[in-house]
Amino acid sequence: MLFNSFSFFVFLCITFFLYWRLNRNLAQQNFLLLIASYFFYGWWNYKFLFLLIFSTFLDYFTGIKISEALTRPAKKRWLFASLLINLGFLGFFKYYHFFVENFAALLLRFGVHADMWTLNIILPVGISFYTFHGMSYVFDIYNGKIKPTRNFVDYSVFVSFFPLLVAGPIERATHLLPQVEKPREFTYEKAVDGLRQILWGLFKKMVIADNCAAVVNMTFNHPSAYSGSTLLMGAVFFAFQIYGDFSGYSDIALGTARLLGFELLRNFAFPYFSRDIAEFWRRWHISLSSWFRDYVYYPLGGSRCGTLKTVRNIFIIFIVSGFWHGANWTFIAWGAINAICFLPLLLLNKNRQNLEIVAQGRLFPTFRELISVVLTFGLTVFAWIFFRSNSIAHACNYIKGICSRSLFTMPQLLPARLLIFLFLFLITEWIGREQQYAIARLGLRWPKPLRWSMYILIIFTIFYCFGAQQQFIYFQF
Amino acid sequence: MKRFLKEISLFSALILVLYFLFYFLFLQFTLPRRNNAVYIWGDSQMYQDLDLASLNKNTRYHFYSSALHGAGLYDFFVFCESVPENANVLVEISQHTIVRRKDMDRNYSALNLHALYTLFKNNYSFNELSKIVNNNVVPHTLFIDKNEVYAAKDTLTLTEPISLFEAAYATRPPCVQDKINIYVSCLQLLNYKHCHIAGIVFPSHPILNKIEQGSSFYPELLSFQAQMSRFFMQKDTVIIPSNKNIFEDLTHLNARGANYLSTEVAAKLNFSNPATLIYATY
Repeated sequence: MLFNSFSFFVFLCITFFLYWRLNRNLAQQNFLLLIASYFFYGWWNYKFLFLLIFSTFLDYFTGIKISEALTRPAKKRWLFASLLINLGFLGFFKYYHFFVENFAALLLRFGVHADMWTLNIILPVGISFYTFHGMSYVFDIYNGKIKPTRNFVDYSVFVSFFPLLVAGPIERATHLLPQVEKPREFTYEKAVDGLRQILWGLFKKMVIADNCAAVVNMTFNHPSAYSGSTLLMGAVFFAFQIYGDFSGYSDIALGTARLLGFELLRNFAFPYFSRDIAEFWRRWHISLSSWFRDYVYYPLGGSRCGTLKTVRNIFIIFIVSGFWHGANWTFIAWGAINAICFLPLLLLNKNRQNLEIVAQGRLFPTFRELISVVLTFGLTVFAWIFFRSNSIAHACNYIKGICSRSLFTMPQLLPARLLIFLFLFLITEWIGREQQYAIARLGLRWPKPLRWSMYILIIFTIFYCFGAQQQFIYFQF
Repeated sequence: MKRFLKEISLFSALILVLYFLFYFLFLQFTLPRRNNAVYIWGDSQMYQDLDLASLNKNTRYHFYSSALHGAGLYDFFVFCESVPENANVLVEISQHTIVRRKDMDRNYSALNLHALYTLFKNNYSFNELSKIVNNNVVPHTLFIDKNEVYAAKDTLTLTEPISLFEAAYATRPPCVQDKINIYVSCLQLLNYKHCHIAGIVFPSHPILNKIEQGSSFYPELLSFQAQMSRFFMQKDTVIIPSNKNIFEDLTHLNARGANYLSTEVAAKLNFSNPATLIYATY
């Protein structure tokens, strides 16, 4: 069920009304959320529901066992058992073909023609997300940050809460589980704020991302047919496509959760207004970056274990993050490029120089800030080319196509309407960059007719200007 | 909660009213309203086989076409609902439209309750109707006044294999009679609106004619033609010279055939005369 579909709209309305009807009974409310979440997931493919339930039960059970174990080695054994099974599933469904194909290719280099056993494996939607939810829970119990819950329904709601089930944000048990266990209050302000965030998410997805996708698909599918300037435009549009797509999804997820009285972790904080790559990674897919930081980077020693080990840790975290996105060398290259851009900042101790919001309290940035933002955006666009390409060779061809004489000609494609939308979108995001999402405060003090007119304008823009429906990019991860 | 529900209901109602208002105004503003307008409906044959520029040049009328590749009978009904009373209309009588599977119909025109109801009465399922609604949630411009015919080539371009046509005519599609009924309803609606109707039957390639004649439900197709011809007082024929290839593929003329046909149709069209059905052949 896609967030931007009529079926989700009907599903959400029904869930919302039933949910708040059960306001006085927390257990029933949570049970309803669980049923709704399983229905939401089963709508795509009910067979994989069993995998989700199994994964939920596994972490619930190992969480209790870790807590009950009396010695550190016993706790560790349970932790490893849980990680092995979780990562085993993830590895099988997501990376089986990648390893088999690469192993076969490697053998071929040594002259061995191996007839590898391939399977027709379907990647269960959201497996990377719910596996990481469960793993964070087990880690936190192992590290003594939380005590395991004994209520299976509450735990299942934490893992499979439908707004974040298939594409995040990747929640932490320390943050979401207490909300599941406590009664939620309906407040008018929160509900309206949730709807505003959903509206903005839909705009980002359907107007920005889906319209950009049309141009991006053309340039990336046939790079040889386009001039350097057109290819560059395609790469820039992909940066907006993936941002609109994923942050739009996150906005809808956060808004939906807020309608139901939950606060989810923020996932995006205007990443394209970052002044360096370190800041970009503090603002892009925050829930995943912080997950890797807390559960991979810090346990490896972080940046406090000598220069060489720090470099190693940085490469590990970025490459694993890239590999998490998909079983392809392009994602690994994307991670490595980001690591290369990030390393100098870390080694020169400049990775935390831009902690505050760009041009905070001012309307316009300084010239230096503007240049930093544009350069950082340029670096991310370069890395996105690898992310979007089908293979490393494809990405190299694309870059070669950009770096040609035709880079200085007029682009062959000039989607005027889309350029206007992008311009207005960037202005709105810039104005709202100090808020949780761009239109969080926009028009709140305006008279109601004017504020409603703004909503109607956004709704009608979505309605009349949406691009051909594309699946959310992050569903495939 | 009460305040939230009250405001959300009010807002939704406002959105719905504005949506339908905008939809209605869009259709009204995009409907061409010239005195000498001729409104055209048909599927890809009408779109490809008649050159609007030639018709505009060689007649005293101005032609506006809502012909679409794969147009369905829902589109035809919407067309009939949309054209003004007493309008001049040129419609295609197409047996391909009635043989084509329902799910292959484009049905891409506008939301219309009467059209949906007519389809519902003729055994369209809820699922089929909801797909049509989905196609037309956003209004489209119904009429164009420019088109492009296929280039003249000496050989056929078979974009779809012949076996596909053979399969389509191998068994009787269950929707044939329903579609014939809707066709009849459409023409009745045009009559009810006192429209000046002209009809046209486009030619198909001999290979396709042979497949059609060999199908088990060919008598039903003949009966369809007979039923349709009852709506027309006069019959006329255009014979397209076929000493050179006139077809792009099995169902469409190329520029050679289309230009000839357009010139001849332009010469024959006169909406002051009783309803005329033109058979184009070769």
